[in-house]
Amino acid sequence: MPEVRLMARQFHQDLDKLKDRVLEMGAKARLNVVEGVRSVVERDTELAERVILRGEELNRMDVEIERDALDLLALNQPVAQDLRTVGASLKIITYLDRIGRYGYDLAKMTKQLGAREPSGKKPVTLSLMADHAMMMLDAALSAYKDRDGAKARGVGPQDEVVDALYEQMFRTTVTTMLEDPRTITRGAHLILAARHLERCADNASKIAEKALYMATGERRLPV
Amino acid sequence: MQKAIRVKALDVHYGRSRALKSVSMDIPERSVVALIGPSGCGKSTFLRCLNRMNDTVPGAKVEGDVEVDGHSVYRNGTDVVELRRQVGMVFQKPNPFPKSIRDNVLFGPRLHRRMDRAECDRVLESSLRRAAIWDEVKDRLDAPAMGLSGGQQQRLCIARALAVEPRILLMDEPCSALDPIATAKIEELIQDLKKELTVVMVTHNMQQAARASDYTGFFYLGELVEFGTTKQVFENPREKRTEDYVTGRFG
Repeated sequence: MPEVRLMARQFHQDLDKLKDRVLEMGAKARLNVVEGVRSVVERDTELAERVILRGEELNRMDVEIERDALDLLALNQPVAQDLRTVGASLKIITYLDRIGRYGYDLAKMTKQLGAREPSGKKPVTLSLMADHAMMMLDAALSAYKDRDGAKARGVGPQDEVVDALYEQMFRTTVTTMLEDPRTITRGAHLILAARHLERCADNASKIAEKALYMATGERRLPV
Repeated sequence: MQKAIRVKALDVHYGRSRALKSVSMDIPERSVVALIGPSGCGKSTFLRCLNRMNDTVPGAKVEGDVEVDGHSVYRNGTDVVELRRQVGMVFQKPNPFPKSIRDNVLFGPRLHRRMDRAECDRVLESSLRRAAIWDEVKDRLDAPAMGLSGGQQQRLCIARALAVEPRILLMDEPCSALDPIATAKIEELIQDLKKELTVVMVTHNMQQAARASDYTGFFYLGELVEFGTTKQVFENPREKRTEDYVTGRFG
């Protein structure tokens, strides 16, 4: 049955392409967050502008990858690992779109804060949170890329660290706002920024869950 | 769940070649089982063992055991005619007798017992209804069966198999000669039939196995590589060989 094998090979090539596109989208979403946070921490409005321009791109990729994934389903009726790969990819792009969106929102925040507020101390905890959330995202995407169940399992537990940093950021910012009401606008923004990063880490955990499902067929139920 | 069929360490040789290698399978009552695998993997051989159709193949040697409703079918003294009444079979190519629709359906029951006119009519109608073809043929019951379309002929053959009230129906690629609409009708029919009986079918159509069956068995080189719920086999097969086959990565 040479045609059958040929068709299957074509399908598997298309599936690999789909995965590559998802990873490409992941890299863009990651860049959004990294630069979005840096723009907030450094008050870099030019950088923020670049992130905002990229916002549309992720949106477009989300739509395109979804379309390609649905085409693969409609034309090939994949099963087993192939089916799980398409299913996981469809979910993962939603999480990536959200992560990219948080980066976009951080950049918007930089523009709103502008130069009118006293800049105060650099909010380095935000950078720490972003580093940790992005480490989780890297691990989740690498588990997806290599179908590595063990790596995927390792991502979820790290969420605690980001949660703890968020708590810390929240408390210190509230204290500062109480001491000096002029910092309230800035403080409110920083808390929101921290909240965005905490959500990025949650979405990275979700991606890891889908990578685990793709690799092993195992589903994590919410506890 | 009650088991309709229990197969234990079934081995089949055709002459010197070993067609089945110690296959064991428990088939729950009122379920649909699909057997998949590349040509020559032993799935049809397996199917034919269930009602001893291999008895008629010269050089075939069967070892191990098959139990239907708790009775070993390979023990001495098994009434093979009765066994085949209980375990009916439908083949790949519709094979109606060159007789009327009525005579096709009543052929089996008349062999097994004497029937008066009223009983004949009752069996005829209920069999054709269960095979979802009654409405299409009720006004031409004495027309030749050969005049029906392929899909209708296949359903007539199913009606003929049902007329002797089997508990198990074996189907060897029942839709491979049919168009998609006729195929959909047979698949729907299979879903109706499983309310009363157990269906075991061989299919080369993976989508059909996924759609129409509750359990799937994957055969390869005479071995039953994997047997599980259809959902599990198609979503998360345990065996690499199954994975490779269902995703088309074979060979």
